[in-house]
Amino acid sequence: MEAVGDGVRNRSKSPRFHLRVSQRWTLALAAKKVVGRKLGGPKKPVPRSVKAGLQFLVSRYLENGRHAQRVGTGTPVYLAAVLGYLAAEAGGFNYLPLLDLANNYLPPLSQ
Amino acid sequence: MDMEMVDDNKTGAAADETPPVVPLQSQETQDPNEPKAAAAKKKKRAGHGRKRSRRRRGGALEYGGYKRYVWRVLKQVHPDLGASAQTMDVLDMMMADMFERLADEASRLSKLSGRLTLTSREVQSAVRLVLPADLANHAISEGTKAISNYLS
Repeated sequence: MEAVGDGVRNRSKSPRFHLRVSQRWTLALAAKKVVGRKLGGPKKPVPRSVKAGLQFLVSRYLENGRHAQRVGTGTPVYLAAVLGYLAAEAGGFNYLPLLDLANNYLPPLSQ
Repeated sequence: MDMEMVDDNKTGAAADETPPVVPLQSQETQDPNEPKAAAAKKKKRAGHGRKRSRRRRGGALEYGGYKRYVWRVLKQVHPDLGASAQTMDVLDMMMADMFERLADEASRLSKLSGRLTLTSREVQSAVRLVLPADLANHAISEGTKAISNYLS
């Protein structure tokens, strides 16, 4: 009778102990995952010209206060793209469109 | 060599009809025939660019120049074609002139409409006003594509 009682007690304790161990292991894994995410988290800065796929600089053309009090985020990107296209036209040495462009210019008044 | 000479003449013709707004001293130098001289020239230009960039960071915005970017675009358009220093000066002045035209027009548009913010919409309208129809259409498509790439 006593031996049977001890056996029952041991069996009842062991499954609980196993469950607790597995829970602890899962928590440790979760913590590691979180730490891994945090470590891998910080992103490297990417220049805006690379983002937009352009060769011209994006940020230094328009400054607040020079042409307008405020400048939108897309404005320097758009302007850099336009200048890049004009440079490509000029670099291609196809000067006929540029002559049309030149016609808009008024010569300075001679005194 | 003959090709470069012809191209220089054409570019000179275009430059004559569009006098530059920003005055700069153009240095006349011959095209280097040897690759070593070309490499040295590139190194010198790179150093010069670095100095200018340092100055920019410290004080007010100076005339930084567009030569390195024009060179990049030229390498995209014609990988095997070079350009003389005088040609690069002319293209640099042209880029500065176009920037001032577009920026002034966009600024004027924003003031007329009573807005304090200069957005890409103002720049687009300025492009339509300043450039001829053909150039304007292509430039607008380029700008729209760049903005879509930037936002994605």
